[in-house]
Amino acid sequence: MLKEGIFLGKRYEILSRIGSGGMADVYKGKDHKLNRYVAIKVLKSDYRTDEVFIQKFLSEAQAAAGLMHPNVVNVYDVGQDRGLYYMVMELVEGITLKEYIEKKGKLTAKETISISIQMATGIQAAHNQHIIHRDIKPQNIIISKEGKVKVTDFGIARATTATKTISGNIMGSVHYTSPEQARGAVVDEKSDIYSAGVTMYEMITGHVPFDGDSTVTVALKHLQEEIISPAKEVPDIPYSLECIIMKCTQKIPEHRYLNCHDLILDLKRSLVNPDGDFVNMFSRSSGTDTTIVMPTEEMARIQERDYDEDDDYDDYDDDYDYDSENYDSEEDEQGGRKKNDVDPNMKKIMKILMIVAAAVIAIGVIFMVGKAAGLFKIKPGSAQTQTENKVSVPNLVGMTEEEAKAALSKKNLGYYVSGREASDKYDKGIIIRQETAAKKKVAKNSQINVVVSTGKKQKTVSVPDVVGQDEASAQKALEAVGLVVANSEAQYSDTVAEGKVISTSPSAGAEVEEGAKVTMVVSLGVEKATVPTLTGLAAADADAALAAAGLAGGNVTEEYSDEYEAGIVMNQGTEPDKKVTKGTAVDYVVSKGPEVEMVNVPSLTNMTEDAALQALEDAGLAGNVTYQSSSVTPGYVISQSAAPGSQLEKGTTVDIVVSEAQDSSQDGSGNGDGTGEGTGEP
Amino acid sequence: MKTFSITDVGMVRQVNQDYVYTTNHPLGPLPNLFVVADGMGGHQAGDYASKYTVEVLKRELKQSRENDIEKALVLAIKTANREIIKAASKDSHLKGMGTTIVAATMVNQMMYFANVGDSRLYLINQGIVQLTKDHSLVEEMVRLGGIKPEEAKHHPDKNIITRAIGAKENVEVDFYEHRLKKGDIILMCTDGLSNMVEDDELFHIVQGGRDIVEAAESLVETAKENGGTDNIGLVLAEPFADEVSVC
Repeated sequence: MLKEGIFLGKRYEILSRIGSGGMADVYKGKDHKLNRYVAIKVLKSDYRTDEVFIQKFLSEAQAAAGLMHPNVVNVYDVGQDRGLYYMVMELVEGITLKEYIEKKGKLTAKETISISIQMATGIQAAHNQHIIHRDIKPQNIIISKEGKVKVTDFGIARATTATKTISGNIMGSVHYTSPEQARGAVVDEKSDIYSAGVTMYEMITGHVPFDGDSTVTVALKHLQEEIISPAKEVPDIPYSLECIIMKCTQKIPEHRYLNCHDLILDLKRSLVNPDGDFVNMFSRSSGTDTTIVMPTEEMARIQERDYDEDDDYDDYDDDYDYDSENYDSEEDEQGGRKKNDVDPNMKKIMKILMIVAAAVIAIGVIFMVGKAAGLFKIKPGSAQTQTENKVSVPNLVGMTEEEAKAALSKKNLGYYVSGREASDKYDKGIIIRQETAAKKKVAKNSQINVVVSTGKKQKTVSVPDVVGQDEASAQKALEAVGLVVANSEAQYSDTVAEGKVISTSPSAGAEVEEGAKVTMVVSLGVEKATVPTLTGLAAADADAALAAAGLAGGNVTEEYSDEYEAGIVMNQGTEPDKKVTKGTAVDYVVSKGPEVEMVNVPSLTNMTEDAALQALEDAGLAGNVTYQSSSVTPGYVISQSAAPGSQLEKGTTVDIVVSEAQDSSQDGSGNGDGTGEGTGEP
Repeated sequence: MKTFSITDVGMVRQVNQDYVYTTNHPLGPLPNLFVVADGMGGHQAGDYASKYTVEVLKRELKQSRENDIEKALVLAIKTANREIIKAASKDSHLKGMGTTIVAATMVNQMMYFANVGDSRLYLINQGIVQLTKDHSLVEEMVRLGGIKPEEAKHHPDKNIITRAIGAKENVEVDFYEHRLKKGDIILMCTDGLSNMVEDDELFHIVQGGRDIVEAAESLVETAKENGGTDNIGLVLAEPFADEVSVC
């Protein structure tokens, strides 16, 4: 619920709540632009998050805003403000037809017809603009204090929504819902005519034709049950009115009036010729002998209609055997019905009679409404205070806003600030001038527009362009034109050199008052980063440390080191704690661990022990000698533990086997055998 | 019992008023509980209604000394209804709030469930069957023969429900039971899913998923691809082999 005094769209002031519907709250409001009272319908919060629905609400409301008719509650504006969707409408002071019927119990035939003509005329105006109401019901028909009947809530009343609703909220509508609406089919003008017929039924009988515990029961009755003629209850109902109501409430849309024009015509005829037999009841030829001729015009329209669901429709047609006995018997008595062509003289008489009748009815309605004044939703007093009383406009110039407001309200005049501007003569907040001259006589409640001073006009200067200058000269340039340099900010910049101005606020070229403060942003140069200590970190951690400092990993090289373990940074290209440009790549060296030198194992075969040891030593290896008796010449190498040509870590010990000294007798042959054995040949 | 619950704001709404809850731990006489609720009402009212209803339900069941599953569950739902009405009458922001509810529990190869509103419980096995009856104007008209199921499908008044938690002081709760069979999968969902995805598509997605988690995510995605005009909330439950009766 909105608070009083809130403005919507900077124009409409909420004054008080006057009602609440299923989807919206209605407020009395004031349009401060056109200075008139209005009704403002504000969409309930439930629907504010339903974008599909909101689009529909706005587009339908816009369509309705294009509709201006005396029998329609006119829509002036639609809008959205601070998340609230609203519709601005004509403020009609009166009561709803529902309240009126409740008050009176039931209406007379004349009253019913008079109200119905106006209602149908309002609906017709909408149909002419291709707007289907979809929710015609006495709650949406307002009888103004002047006795005018106005239809309200066009289009938006039953706008489709996905927002879940509890059925109790729509009980008011389901009593008037057409069978095709209950079925969920596409609805057209004839659906409104059905609902109008139900409304007429309620006026004349004082109750709706179908009632029940739940929306479902009621909806089903509209689909399945035939309406019992109001004549059963109201025996004195004019025959023509009974027929009109029955024709409007036919289950099959094509059996109703096809448009409001035809309905209004019959209603008018009914006023002058209440018992006339001019209503063209559509009837199917059933078992009876009655032959009914369908007017060719109507036939043509039916044939023209393009049905998407032709088959479905046929089914439906068969399901509802609506030929009630009432009708057939009546028709038998009356004989075939034909269009009642009125001769020109009769037309003239009818016209006069109708005017008289309408006048009588209008007076009656006003009388009734007057009696029902206690039911008025809007208390009289505000809107109709715009009497002929004229008041003299006070002189407001030189007053403060508060003083002006008080002076105006004393005279029942409205205060509105139409503008604020600088003034050398008047201080801030003082009225400079008024748009309605002082002493002029105006109607009470008129709005007086005033212009309020914003204080002395200041000399303005253009902020000079100091970007790129060094701080000191920029400050001089700014002060030279009468600006004050406020504390400057420092910022890193990749493009502006250190100590130069990057920008000013307000920026160059801005028109500001003399003496205004200007803030300069001065470059710190390219942003610097501190190089972290990488030595001693694992390579992965080094990259992370660089990234954290805003630096990049540079070339990574590997070196042997006796001091650092493998994988640890042993050296970095840029010294720790040095300031460098952000993003600079820092090289570092990762330890491969202690260096290992590989040497080739020499061939020691046919060497003496000493020569072999020397050869190993020369190669960087050590020797370990064992002795064995062999056919090999004593003192010579028999075998070595590492194969000649293979690589070993420098300093590795190689085992060698050296032949022991033997008997000389065995020497020669032994030697030969030994050689044989040594080479492993047979 | 393997269960998975998921809810998504959808493609159009700004607020998620759906609320889903599952537990495999006992709550009073119930050995487990699965709930889907679809709140309604503006501002924070709708999401408050669905969440608060589930909280009251949990609290009431936990304290319940009733041994009869039906009595315990229905009583807890009725208490939640009264508390929602009470909360709505105290706070003008919550005025008019309400929620649907479908709640289920599985006990000894039997599934017991209750519903109010138009959130559904489907049984999926060789085919798909809706076991709950929607308390909506359109579905009730279909059941009473007023309109045809085809007419109901795209009926503009589909949003109108005939029962809700928070609507009337005395809410009527429908209660059902079903003997679980091998291969049964239970789908509980709000109309944000069932209005966006046709029944046979629901069936194919659930049966086509590698597991219920994948199936549930796929259901949400499909509803969103088809427009996602409302919030989507669902629970998928698959009984273990020893929780079903042998055919």
